[in-house]
Order: sequence, then structure tokens, then C-alpha cells
Amino acid sequence: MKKDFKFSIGDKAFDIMSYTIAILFTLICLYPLYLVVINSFSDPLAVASGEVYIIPKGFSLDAYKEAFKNGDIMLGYANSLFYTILGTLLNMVLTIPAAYALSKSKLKGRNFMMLMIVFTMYFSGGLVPTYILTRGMGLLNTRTVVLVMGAVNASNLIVARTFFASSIPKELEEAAEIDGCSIPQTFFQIVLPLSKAMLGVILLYYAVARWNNFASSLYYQPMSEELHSLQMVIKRILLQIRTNQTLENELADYYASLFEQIKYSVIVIASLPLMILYPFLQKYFDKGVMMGSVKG
Amino acid sequence: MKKNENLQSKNNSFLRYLKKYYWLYLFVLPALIWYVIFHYIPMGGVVIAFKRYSGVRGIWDSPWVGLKWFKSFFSSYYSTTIIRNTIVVSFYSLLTFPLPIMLALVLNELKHKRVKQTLQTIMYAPHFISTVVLVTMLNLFFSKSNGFVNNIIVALGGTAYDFMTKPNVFPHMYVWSGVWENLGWNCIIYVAALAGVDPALHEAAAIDGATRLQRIRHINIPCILPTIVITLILKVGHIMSVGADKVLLMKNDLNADTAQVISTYVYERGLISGDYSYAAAVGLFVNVVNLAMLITVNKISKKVTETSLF
Repeated sequence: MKKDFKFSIGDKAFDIMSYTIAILFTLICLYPLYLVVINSFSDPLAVASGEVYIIPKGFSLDAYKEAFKNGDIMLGYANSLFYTILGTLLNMVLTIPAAYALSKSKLKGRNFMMLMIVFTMYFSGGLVPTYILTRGMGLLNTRTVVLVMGAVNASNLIVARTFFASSIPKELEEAAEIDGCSIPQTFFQIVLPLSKAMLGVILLYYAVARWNNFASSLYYQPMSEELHSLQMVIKRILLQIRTNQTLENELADYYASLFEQIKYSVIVIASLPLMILYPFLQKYFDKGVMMGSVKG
Repeated sequence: MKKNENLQSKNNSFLRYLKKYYWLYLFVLPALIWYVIFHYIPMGGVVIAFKRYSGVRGIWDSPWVGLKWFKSFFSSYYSTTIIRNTIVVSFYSLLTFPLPIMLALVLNELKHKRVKQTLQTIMYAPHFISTVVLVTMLNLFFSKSNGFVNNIIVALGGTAYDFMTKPNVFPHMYVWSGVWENLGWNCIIYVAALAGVDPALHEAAAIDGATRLQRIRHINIPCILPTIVITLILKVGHIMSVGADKVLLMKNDLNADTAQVISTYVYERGLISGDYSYAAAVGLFVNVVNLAMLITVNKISKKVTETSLF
């Protein structure tokens, strides 16, 4: 009896520990994001002097207004929307049918094809040969180069292929074949409607990668700033400001403060599409990783 | 005669096969063509590492120079610094490898499903933030003048410290911001693996008087060991490639002593200065080391733990 009692106290302590650790880490994840948001619409002077920690101080949307007035940011926003929408579409069109075909044992040579795809995950020509290739193709400083880079992601393809191979009942496809459905008919009318969760996950992965991409602009559009994605514009504008830090040490007047606060508002603006989509997509996260957790 | 007939019927059956399944090939072909163009042609283009490439003459007509670029890289005074920087950051990141496993084990102990789910969803959020935004946030929070972190240090009686420009702090900033960004996300795979642990094992152990800590140690960890090993092999396979993206954003003139890694060097020498052959040679060196590491670790793991990638 006594032993039992002791055990349950240990159990309680254990529970408290687990919850404390989990909640503490969650707060660590959340707090910087919260800090950005409250700083973005507080009074610029309070922001610049670093007084905004816990609750917003004052209220001002000037930093947002300034950010929206900036032509580069708006152009980058439009470019990023273009790259994300068209790029993700290209990702899906290339990845999903290929993954379906590769899940079929009827496809002769599929082991070789898979090997060819998987090998690129472990070895690549590297940045310079890829750069020379794009230059040779006349793709440098074009919109196309951003769309075409990363058009297929091997891990996403593997997730989709595994899903098709394991989660679509074979009998269903065989029945469709007997009924005279062609392969595209089976694929579009039977297989895809059964794969919505997987399609959601892959779409999410691709769209996030597209939206967050700045390296393609950095490497392959060095001469055309008007084509740069939003992330690249932010890199250009915000990360250069750091060198002027000595200036900020002097008494900050309203505009100098505002200039500083714009960084916060730009972060919010740049993350807005994801923040809006986040609640809708979060139910797919776990499913997605379950699908992705294939061994070997 | 018979042979001929055989061949013909074989031909016919192949045609029948194609007629029936040509769509599968049409499905897979665009992706394969993309892989050939954007992965395999650049792999061939790696020969410029052994040539003196000039844009005018093209890859094939440029003269061979053998191992000249490799030699000149390894004999240069900065090569050791760059390689050391890369390995420091990379191994340091590798050391944080157990953190997601520990977090997953903790999350697995939470009894309220709802709470666990909500906490996890919040933990994923930093993963979706872009690198540019992450580094901007670092600059804001760790800024010497009125950055949130320095304000706390000053309030506690310390002196403000310039985190973003000091070479000796760069590895810490790089690695721990990475932990913040990816810890929640990286633990999903282990949480999923833990969900697959047979509850009967825990019941039996509980009856035998095992404490929860003992059960974690002797049931949970062995059950997810294959997942741990596979993830570790993949990590080691990229040991020499510290991604250029984040480092390029965090690097400045003042912290370049520790922040110049191989990938950023390849970018600067190749794309900015136009020393294509030289930069390609350095890049090739990294890729070969990575591949060799992957194969080695995979082999060791196959022997020791009987888990392997291939």
C-alpha cells in the first residue's frame, strides 16, 4: 500500500515535469513571433528604445504604411505570388503523375528510374556547374529560372509514391481497368480523389518552399532586381541596414525609429500568407510526416 | 525460322505492352527529363573542376589542367580555416541531434491528447518561417543597440554584447537559431514512431514494477532506434555541406573569420568573382566527402545496428 502511494507521487512529479518542459519549449517557440507582431504596431519610439516586451505600447500603423509605400517590397510581393502559384503548380504537375507511374510495377525500368532520382539526393554537380548550365540555356536573369529550379523534390516524390503504392486499394484500380478506364481516367477520377490528404501535404511543402525561397533569385537573377522574390528584396533592404548601426545609437527621432520598426512590419507582411493558411493546413502536418516516415 | 517467330511475338507483346501502358511513361517522362537536365547535365559539367574553364571556349574546348585547382585550394592559407569553420558548425549542429528525440519522448508522456496536439502545432510554426525572416529576427533581437536580449542583459547589470558581429559567437547563433527553428518539426518523426510502440509492452512492464523512466529507457528508446539511426545516417551524409543560405545572410565583414564556410566560399569565388573552375573544384571536393561519409556510416550502421539506408 505504502509502495503504491510512493509510486503515484513519482508519477505526478513525472507528469508535472513533462508538461513543464513541453509548455516551456512551446513558449520559447511562440514568444519571438509574438514579439515581432506586437512590435510591428506599437508606437515607433517605444519600439526603437526596446520597451515593448509583453504588451503592445501605444498604437501606430505607420510602419505598415511605410512598408506598403515601398515599391520594391510591393514588387517583390507580386513576384513571390507569381513564383509561388505558378511554381507550385509546376511542382505538382511534374511530381504527382511521375510518383503515380513509379508506384506501378507495370512500369518497366522503374527501379532504375528511382535510383536515378534518389541518387541526386546524395550527390550533385554543385552550384557552379548548375549556374553555367542555366547561363548556357539563356535562363539567367529570367523569371523562368526561378520556376524551373527545384521543380521536383525527391523526398516529396517519394512520399507521394509511397502513398500511391500503399494507400490506394489495388482492387479499385483493377476494377476500373476492367471497366475500360484508361490510365489517365483511373488516375484523375479514382486515384486523385482518394489522395486529397497527401496532395494537401505535398502542396503545402512545395508552396512554403516556393514562398520562402530567396537563393534562386540570389544565384540566378543577379542583374535583374525587378524580378526578385519578396524574400530576396527583404534580404537586400533589411540586412544591409545592419551596417548603419552606429547611426541608430544617436538620439532616435521619430523617422529613424520608424525605419527600425519597418523591419517588424515587413516580417509580418512576408509571413502573412503562411499565417493565414496555417490553421487550415495544420491538420495535414501529422498525416504528412506519417506518410513520409518510410524507412530506407 | 523459329527464332524469327519468337522474336516477332516478343516484338508484338512489347508493342501490346506499350499500347496498354504508354501513359505510365508519359506520366514519368517530364520529371525524368527535368532530372537529366538540371541534375545529370551539371554532374557532367563537374569536369570543369579539372579544366581551365572559359565562357568563350565552353566546357569541352577549355584546356585540361588536372588537379591544379584542388592543389591550389588545399595549399592556400584560408582552406584550413574554411574547412574548420564548416566542420565546427556542422558537428555542433550534429550534437543537437538528441534534442528532438528527447522532446518527442517528453511529448509522448503527455496524457491530454488535445493539449499535446495544440503544443505541437505551435512548435511547428518556426519551421515555416523563411531563413531571411529568421535572420532578420536575430538581428533585431540580438542587436547591440536596444535589441531585446541586450536590454535584458543591461537590465540585469551586464554590458551590451554585439552578438551578430563577434566571430566566436557565430557558431552558437547559427546552431541555436536552427534548433529554435526546427526542433518542434524534427520531433514529429519520432512522435510518429513512438505512437507505433505496442501498449502491451508498457502494460507488462508496469505490472512488473518498472518506473516510467525505466519504461522510456527500455521500451520507448529501443523501439524508435531504427528511426534514430536512419535520421543520423542522413545527417552525417551532409556533414560537409553547411547550407549557404543562412550563413550568407548571417555573415558580415566582422564575423567572417568563423562564418566563411565552404558553400559560401564556393558562391563568392564562383558566382561573384567568376573563378568557375576553382569554385567547382571546391564544390566537388565537398560532394565527394559527403558521399564517402554517407557510404561509410551506412556500412558501419549495417554492421553494428543492422539498420541501414541501402
